[in-house]
Amino acid sequence: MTDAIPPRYDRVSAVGFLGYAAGVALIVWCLNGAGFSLEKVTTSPPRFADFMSRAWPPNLEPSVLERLGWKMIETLQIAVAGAVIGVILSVPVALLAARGLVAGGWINQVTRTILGFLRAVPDIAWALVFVVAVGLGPFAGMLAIVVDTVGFCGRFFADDMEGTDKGPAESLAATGARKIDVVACATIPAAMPAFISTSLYALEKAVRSSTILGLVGAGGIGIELKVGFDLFDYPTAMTVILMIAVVVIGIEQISGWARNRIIGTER
Amino acid sequence: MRASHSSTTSLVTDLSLKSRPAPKTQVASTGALGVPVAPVDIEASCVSKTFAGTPIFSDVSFRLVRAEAVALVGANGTGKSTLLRCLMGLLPVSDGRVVLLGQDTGTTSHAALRGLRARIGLVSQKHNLVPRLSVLSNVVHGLLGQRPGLRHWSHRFAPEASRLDAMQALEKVGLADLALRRADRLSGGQSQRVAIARAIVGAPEILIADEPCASLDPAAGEDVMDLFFQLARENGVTVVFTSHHIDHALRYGDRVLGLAEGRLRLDATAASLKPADLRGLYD
Amino acid sequence: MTDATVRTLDDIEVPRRTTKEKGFDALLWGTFLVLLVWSFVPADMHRFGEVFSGGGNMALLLEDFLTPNFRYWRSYLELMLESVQMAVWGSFLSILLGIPFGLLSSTNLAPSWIVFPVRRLMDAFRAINELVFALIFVAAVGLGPLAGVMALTIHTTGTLAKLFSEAVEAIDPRPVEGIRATGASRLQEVVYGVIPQVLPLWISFSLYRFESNVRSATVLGIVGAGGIGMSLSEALRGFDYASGAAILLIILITVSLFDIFSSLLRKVVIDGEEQSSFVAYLGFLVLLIVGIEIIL
Repeated sequence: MTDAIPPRYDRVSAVGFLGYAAGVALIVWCLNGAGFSLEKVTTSPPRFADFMSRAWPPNLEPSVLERLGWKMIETLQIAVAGAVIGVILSVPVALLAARGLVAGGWINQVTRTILGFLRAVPDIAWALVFVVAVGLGPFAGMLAIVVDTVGFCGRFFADDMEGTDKGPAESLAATGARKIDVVACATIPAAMPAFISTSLYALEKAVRSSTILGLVGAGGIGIELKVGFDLFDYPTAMTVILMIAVVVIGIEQISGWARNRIIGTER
Repeated sequence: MRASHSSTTSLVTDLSLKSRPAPKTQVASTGALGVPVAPVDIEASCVSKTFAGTPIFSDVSFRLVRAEAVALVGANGTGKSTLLRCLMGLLPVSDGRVVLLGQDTGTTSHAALRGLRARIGLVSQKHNLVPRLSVLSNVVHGLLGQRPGLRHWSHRFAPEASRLDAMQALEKVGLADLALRRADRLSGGQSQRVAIARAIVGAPEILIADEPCASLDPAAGEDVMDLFFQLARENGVTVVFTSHHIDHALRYGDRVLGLAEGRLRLDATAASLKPADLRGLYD
Repeated sequence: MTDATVRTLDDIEVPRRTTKEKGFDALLWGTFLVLLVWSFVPADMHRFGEVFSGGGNMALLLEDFLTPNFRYWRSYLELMLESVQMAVWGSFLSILLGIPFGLLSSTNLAPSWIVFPVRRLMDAFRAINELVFALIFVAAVGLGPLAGVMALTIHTTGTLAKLFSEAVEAIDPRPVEGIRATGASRLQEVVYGVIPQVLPLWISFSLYRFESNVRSATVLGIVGAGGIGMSLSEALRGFDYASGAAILLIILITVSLFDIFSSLLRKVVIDGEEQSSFVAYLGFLVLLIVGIEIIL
């Protein structure tokens, strides 16, 4: 029993040490840039409390509620329309992005990269672009959501399809079926539960996005929020915020429930 | 599933497959004058396959004629499945030539190869069926090779004629009453029988079975093999099958091909062999 | 199916779907169609053709867009860096907050009278978009990146808390019981039994949110919470599409750079491999940032 006790810490290689040091330096540098100042931080809580006192209680006048209610419905319509069209367009795109399904090699890479770019640009930025292109209003918002959804679902549908069991597909290909037939008959049915789950999640994202696209004039309740803050009408702004919270949480719950139902029955 | 078990055996009794059946045609195809020559369905000439630098088998040559039943035997890893896939044109051969139904698999176009495969039925060891779809849809898929397109993606859109063909195929394997059941709710034996239905629905000229009962318990395996060969014989279909079971090879095959150490070591009629001869292949 | 007599074509019946099944299908598709139709006009779908007919602006837009103008590159780079810094701090703080809130939202760790309110609070944080929080914080603490950092922190804490708690609820209870059996305190149970199991998943979630935050941080500027968003908004509103395109390109490149960083970091920490490529990439990023800082 002459084994030496193993050392406490692994010897960090020089390269590893450099890595850690660089990481710490990065964070400190960010501190500097993010406008961090002790004074601002200590004065924040009281300033925040002041804001809250002016925003509470929320504006619950019936006429206001009615107006906001209609806007909220418009918001949901933008979200649903955008998500549905986005999901439909995503399927052929996903077919191109999935390895070895209908296309191979560089087509897959290019498609995935394009989808990555679509996702990299934030949804509001897309909304800004579309507002400029097709004018103010819900259409711009809907287009922004379509693009965002295609970027998301295109990639995840492809991943879902790649993750299916290849056995039935190979078996079908051996009977002489064309590639497109094999995909439609074996790959997509197998990926269907995953598709539905991904689509529901895309719908959740769409609802979340649509609530703020109005900030840049792309339709929906966001405009009311902007107006509220611009006019220092904090109580109305608070009403909008509460409405948004309730609707988004509601959609999340419904989506989660629907997903459980569907995945549950599939097993 | 007592009901379907007994229906299978009753369909089978009059052909008494449990004893050694007589082959329908003679094996020899080298026709002398006046002797009718059976068409050559598959011909392999000096076929070799190398994968990622490792040779799997080399210099394999044989000929199969119409309505022959050939057993391909050999230990695990000798390349039986690979050889089958080369014969179907699913894998390219590294050397040599495969002539399938009169066409050289190395030189035909993809579309023509697909056409050839549509005339072949394949039953694999497992994962044949699409789990979430119904049995009937799965069988209808077997027609996709010959009738491609949207309508055959599901039994719901399929033309009436195709649905009838599919139901008849299911009838032959004794599972017509399970037509609307989801494929993942079947037992192993039922699953393989649906796979057989899918393989025969297009009236193929060749049937290929790659270890069809390896995933099944012995009783279910027997049923599946009996059914498979009864259907093949009835329709004069050429059969190529692989199996681990030596007695299956001798019982169901007219001829036995043995792969060992990368070469074809055995090519003889089943009648001339005894189990002991085959065990040597597995050492 | 018990007799073996030959059946004719007439005997074989192709099965039909029950009316109940058909009815349910109709209901599902019907609802879907109704939703679509109801959303059609309000979402201005009838103007869809305009996207292609180039209703005036589209053509103008494309022409300018394809010739990005980097006239104000200094300002853009500075603001982009500011956005990145906001994202780093927002993510870091939200991880710090997300851990306790996540643990408190886990049904297998905390009693239900704690889990319920904490979860509802996290739901609220998650439901409200960062931009909305940004609006609030700008009103509360003034313009500038601090408002942005706080907005990102609060929103991301909500998301991370939920993700963290989902991981915690999926763990294997046996190692935790094992620790408990040694007489450890509750806190030790958590630290030594729970955390090691969920750490890889937590790290994965955190990296994913960081990537997302880099993206979000770029737009918070639209409401004055710091970063490049303000420039983008001004450029596009002022019809300076060429500058707008330039800014979008910068955003695109930055987000992509950090996506790569995140996936390399993920490989290092979770899979334990590819350390050299990660450090090389980190070095490259550091040099890039230092270089930009010097130039500005």
